[in-house]
Amino acid sequence: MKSPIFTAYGSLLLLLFGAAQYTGFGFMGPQPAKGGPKTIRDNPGASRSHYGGIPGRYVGGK
Amino acid sequence: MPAQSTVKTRAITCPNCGGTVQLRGFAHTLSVTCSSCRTVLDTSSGEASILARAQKQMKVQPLIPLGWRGTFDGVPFEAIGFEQRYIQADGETFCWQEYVLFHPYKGFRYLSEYNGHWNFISPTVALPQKIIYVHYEHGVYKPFQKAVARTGFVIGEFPWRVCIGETVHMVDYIDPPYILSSESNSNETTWSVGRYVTSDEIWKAFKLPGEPPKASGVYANQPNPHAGKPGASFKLFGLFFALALAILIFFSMTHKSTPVFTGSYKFDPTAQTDQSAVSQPFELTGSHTSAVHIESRAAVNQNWVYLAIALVNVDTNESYDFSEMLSYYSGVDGGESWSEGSANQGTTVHRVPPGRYYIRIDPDREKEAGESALLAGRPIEYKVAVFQGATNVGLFFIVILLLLPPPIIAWWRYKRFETQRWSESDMSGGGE
Repeated sequence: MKSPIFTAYGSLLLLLFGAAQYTGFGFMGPQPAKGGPKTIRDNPGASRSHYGGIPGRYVGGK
Repeated sequence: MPAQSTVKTRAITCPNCGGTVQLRGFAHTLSVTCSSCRTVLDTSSGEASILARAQKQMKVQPLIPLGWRGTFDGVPFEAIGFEQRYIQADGETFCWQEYVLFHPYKGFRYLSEYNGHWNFISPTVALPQKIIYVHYEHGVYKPFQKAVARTGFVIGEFPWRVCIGETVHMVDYIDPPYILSSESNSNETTWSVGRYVTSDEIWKAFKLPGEPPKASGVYANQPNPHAGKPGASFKLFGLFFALALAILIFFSMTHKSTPVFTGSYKFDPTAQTDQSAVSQPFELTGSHTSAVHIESRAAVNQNWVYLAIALVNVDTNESYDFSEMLSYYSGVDGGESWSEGSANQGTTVHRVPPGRYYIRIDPDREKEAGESALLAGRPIEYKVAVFQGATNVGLFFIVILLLLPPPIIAWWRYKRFETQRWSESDMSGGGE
């Protein structure tokens, strides 16, 4: 084996890659937010997403 | 450690100083240096005659004492002669040392040393064939260097009539770890082949005391310590690439292609009531986290809608909030049709634990400046679909990028060594 370090490094990368695919890991995307009101399902308009989308538009809670 | 003499040597008397001079090379020795007065003697006729008067130049101390024996390829050779030769190039003088080794049955071999780089040299057994490169036995030798070499200092015995200031035209060809050298004078051309040996091997062969001097720089036929590594690394990279692709394909095939939830909704921008909607709860199955892909599609031909979406866990109320802007406009301008935007978008939420979830959607659409109320108030139908187990293709490219440096570094180290080697060459066409 001419490249033992590369073999170990590549194997580790593949292992992490497989584990990431298995667990659905990703670097980007929405992050979980805790503390949402329990009444959303009964009254969905009572809470607005904290994610602001339309520029210049107030998206705070109603 | 002086060598144990097993063969009787012949002795002659120096005609210059009367000192006794031993001949270890028997009749093969054609010239010898008197160890007392350093006069070079011609011994070819049986009687010693003076070939050159005592050397006036600086005395050079051989690293291997004459009379010591070293074993190469299982054969014990005795160091019987030493010379220092030099070439002049670019206004500089470059010196190297050569040792004459002798074995009564195997004959003469030579050692050369330059800056801690050694070569074990044998006469060639056949005449090398020259076309562009030089072919000798199974090797193809690239031309490396040509120079005029002069003898500067001699001591001991030589199988030729050695002269101080003797000049030869030499050409070196390399096929590491071998070097093929031709030396020509007005009468003849001789060829020899050298094999690179390390200082440690020399010290071990002669059982020399102390540490050998460290080699500096890269020598012409020094084996590249990185040879073979770039090829092996790129092969390994190819293997890892194929394995990563296989992993990606495997997970793509095992992920469910049918959504765990689909919902259709209608948004009326003119309605005074709240247009937010929630889905029925659905199950994300499994025993581990998974990526969840949420696709949105809206009937937005020449229109747009903004959807604030949240994936909410029924039990913990933990939510993943994101938004989609769905818009699609098209037309014809100057005879050319155009379109922009897309009526469907998708977002992947990573590492979502299994459990019961629902989707909350908050649509929005504002009347734009100059837009008629009729256009701005058109109802918009939209759909949302949730898929469990999305494949992360981006990670595949990150893995490939992280796999690239090792083979590139291996190639760069190999090339750097070769660049150093060929920077010493004065012959074009040989560089790699």
